[in-house]
Amino acid sequence: MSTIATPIKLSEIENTPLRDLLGQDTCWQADLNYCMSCGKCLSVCPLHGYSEWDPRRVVKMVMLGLEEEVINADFIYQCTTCERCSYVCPMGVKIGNMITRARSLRDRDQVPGGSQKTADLHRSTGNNMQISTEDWLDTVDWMKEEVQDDYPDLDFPIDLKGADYFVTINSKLPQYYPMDLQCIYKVFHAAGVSWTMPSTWWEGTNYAMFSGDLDTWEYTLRQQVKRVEELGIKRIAYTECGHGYYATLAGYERFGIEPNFEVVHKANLYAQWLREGRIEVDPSRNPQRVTLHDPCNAGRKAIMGGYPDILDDSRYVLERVCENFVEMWPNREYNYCCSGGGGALISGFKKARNYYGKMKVDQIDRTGADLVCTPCVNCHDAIEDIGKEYERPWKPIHLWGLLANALVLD
Amino acid sequence: MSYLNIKGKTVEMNDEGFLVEFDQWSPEVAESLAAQEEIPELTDEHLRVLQTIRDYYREFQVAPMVHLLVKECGITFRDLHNLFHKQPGKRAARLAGLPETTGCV
Repeated sequence: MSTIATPIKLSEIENTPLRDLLGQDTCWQADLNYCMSCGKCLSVCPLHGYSEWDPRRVVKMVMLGLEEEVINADFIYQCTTCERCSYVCPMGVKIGNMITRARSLRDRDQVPGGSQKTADLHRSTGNNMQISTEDWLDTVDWMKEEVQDDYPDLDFPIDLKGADYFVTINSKLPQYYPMDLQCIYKVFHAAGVSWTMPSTWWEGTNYAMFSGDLDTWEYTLRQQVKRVEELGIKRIAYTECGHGYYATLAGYERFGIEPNFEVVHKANLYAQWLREGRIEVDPSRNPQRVTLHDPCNAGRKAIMGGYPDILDDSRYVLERVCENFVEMWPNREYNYCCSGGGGALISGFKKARNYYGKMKVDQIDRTGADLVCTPCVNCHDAIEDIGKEYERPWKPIHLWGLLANALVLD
Repeated sequence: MSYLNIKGKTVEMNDEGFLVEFDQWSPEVAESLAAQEEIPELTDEHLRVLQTIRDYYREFQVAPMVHLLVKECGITFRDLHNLFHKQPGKRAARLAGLPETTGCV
């Protein structure tokens, strides 16, 4: 009898470190056996069509013991872990979890681009840019002095014990865009809450989750928890970030961390303060046409994880601070990735980003918007990049930018 | 991967437009990269800032904060933003021949 193909006995496949890891994950949806090969995942994947790789193929390869090829494939780092695939999967298979586990099995010096270096810096210095405590506090003060020219009453302490909010910041701000710190100062000042800038562990990101360095992911979370608890603060006001927020809540769950405080995304806080009447705004100060990009990690993935999402609250804030807010489509949990998530912003796969970024470009074009509100620093940069690549006139802006601009402050 | 030909030498860049080899930089390389970034001319001021970024990276393996950069170069923060078309992070790092950036940039 001629043999065209040799059957693979799944039970006899050896050396499956990735499948073994997935077997240890406690949620049943980590089990790839549930995959029915329906192909819904690849139909919604922004990367589908770029190469011969897609989510279904990866799931099947892992099932069939072809793990080494998966772990070494560019695909797992081109993937932005947007998890549109997991969201539509009829069996709820956690494809994003599989990608993270596959990344964790790469040798650290084989992680493409800058995400492992970023994770290493976060671990050793408390932030992604190796900013010393002295330089951080110098910048915090420098921006405070500037804003006090117009608002002499604006002040806040560093490391205030028992403050209402421990404010985290993406290190990109002190490093390159310190002016944005002024927006945050004004918003918190307007809300009249007790808040503090921490001197250490103020970073609101987690590139270790992107690079697949689970040990550093856990370590950096624990250091920040320790700092917040030392200060006796009951809420982290998490910076406008998708992945940092998600990495924090998903990381607490994954690593069994039980802090005695809450983590609240700033978008949720702004909305709360607006509803409570703590902040007064004048939308005529933002007359441009503004659309909203819903970050995957603080939208779809937060919903899947059972964490508070920012979808309703981002819209509420925009409706209050803008005269001309329009939705893009699809939106909310069905939104397309910015094209830079999952570490893809700095992984070096520009052509892949441009490929699936075109979907985001078309989405934004259809709104006719001048500004794209991005309540996530990573999304902001990715959208800026593809806007430049496709020569579009629209620009990204943070929620804090629009809110600070609309503030009515005495 | 792409390549620049500068005075007969081949300079390799990754897909993101960053130099693969830090030491292959020269003011001519910077001029070529600046043209791609729509900066028509690199002035002495540009070059002074780029050299400061390079010196810092050589010592600390990361890019300097803008706070330190403006102090060292004796320019204002607005000057820096104007020199690099509002991207003092990624654009300046690219022109200075740094091999990568870290974090959300």
